[in-house]
Amino acid sequence: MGLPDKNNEEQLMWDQVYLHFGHLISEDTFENIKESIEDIVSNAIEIRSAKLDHNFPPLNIYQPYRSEFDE
Amino acid sequence: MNKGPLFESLRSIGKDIENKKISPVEITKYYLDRLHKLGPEYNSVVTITEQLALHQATLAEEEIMAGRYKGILHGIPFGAKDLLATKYGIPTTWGAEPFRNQIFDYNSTVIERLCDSGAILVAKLAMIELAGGMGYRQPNASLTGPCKSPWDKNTWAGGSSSGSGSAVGTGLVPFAIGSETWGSILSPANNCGVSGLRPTYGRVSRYGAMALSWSLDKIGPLCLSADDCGIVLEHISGPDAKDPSSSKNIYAYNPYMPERKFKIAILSDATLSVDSEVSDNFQHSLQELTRFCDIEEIDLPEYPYEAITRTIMLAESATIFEEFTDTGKARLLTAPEDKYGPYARTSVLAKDYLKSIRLRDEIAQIIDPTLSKYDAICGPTRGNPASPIEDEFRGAIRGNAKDTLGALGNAVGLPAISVPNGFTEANLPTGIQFVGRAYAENTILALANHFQKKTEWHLRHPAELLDEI
Repeated sequence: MGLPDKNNEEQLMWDQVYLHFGHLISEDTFENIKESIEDIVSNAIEIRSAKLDHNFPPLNIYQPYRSEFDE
Repeated sequence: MNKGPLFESLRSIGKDIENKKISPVEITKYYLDRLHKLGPEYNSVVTITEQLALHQATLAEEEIMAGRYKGILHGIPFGAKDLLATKYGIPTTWGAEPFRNQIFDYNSTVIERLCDSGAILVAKLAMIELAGGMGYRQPNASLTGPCKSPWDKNTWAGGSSSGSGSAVGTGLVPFAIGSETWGSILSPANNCGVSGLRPTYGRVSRYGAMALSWSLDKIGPLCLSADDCGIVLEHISGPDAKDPSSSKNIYAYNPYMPERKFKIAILSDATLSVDSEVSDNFQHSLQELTRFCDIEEIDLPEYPYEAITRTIMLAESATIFEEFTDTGKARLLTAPEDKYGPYARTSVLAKDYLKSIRLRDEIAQIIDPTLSKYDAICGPTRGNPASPIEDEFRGAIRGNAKDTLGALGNAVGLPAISVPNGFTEANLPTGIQFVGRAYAENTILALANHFQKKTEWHLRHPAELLDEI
């Protein structure tokens, strides 16, 4: 199975949004939400195709936590 | 009062208070009167904090009369965007109907610092609901209605710090505090013809401020001049144990003046798709700037700046507002598009968000050497002047032109200042922005100060408001 194309991805995302929030959103906003999803996927495609320099350290923002540091 | 404080600089008002030419109580009553009279006309005010203001003013007056003058902001009234928590039973509405009666039992750090400096909180100011984070596309996205530009009540004040820009521009407060995730200080500065400073990310503590996107949100001043912005920034910045993201660097306002000319860069596509009058005013500004700046055209490295910033904002706001979204409270928001705005963003994939923040790290490190060659990158603040109050605009953040500088600056957390740089034929202000290296507020403030010494755009005020003196 290949990667989902843009339309398929939008449909999958809409299915997910509808699964979680179908009870909260009204039918007259479905198209608006689908438009927003289209934007999100367009952004994602731009981000995915951006070249990331893997010589940079991977994201590391976690630091171990200790309330009192008395080493 | 011998001389009205209206549209006077903070240095001038401060001096008059220090020299006891005007009293904190007198000046506070003056602005309270204007807030009551003009605030509703411009939809710029949520709550007038009259009782607190008069109490603080009386205290300030006693302190000054007793010789305990605290400094330039002592006794000067200010307004705060209504996403900054205030105690004393004063609501903090976040501009949104579902939070109309929200009360905190603590002050945000910014409010606390200003009050400690002797400044007087006179009003909580209007804002776009939830700081515009739900994807609003029209000015009427606030529980207080569409906030109006001081220059034309049929046009929008900009957002999301709408009331902060409008109230300064209409002379309802001498200065105000706003916040920016992407465009929310610079846009009202542009539309209202005032000066707005977006500080470096982390420069100002966000403790007690509504979070929209924790890695993008910044708090900063909107004032009548760049000099006023520097004065206010000094009072609100600095490390804060209550906000782990706050910078440990101490900031002192000291706009340096290089013995050489300033060196600024402009993007080669700076005026692409912007309104022709905005473009004309920008070109005139460049001519003015050449008197004290060397200007070079540059291109930024290829990155999807807007997609990165938007993806970060959507993903972070989706988790911040998770409970709000899950409980369906969005239906209580004002703008129709905000009622469904929170849902789509829940589908942003973790890998796309994480790649966005990895790209941001990379951009931050790649862009700094470029920025280090210049004192600032400058460009038009917005692609267009204030839009009609009834109109939906295409993109809440973008306007009609690309906002590469805004996307880059906000993603990476760079400081920027917008100052007025002209007017359109319809007498609407336009703005020019200077974006600097991280923590280089003094450099961009020096540039903006110098620009304002050579121009008088920031000294213009709507004629009907001057009649009020």
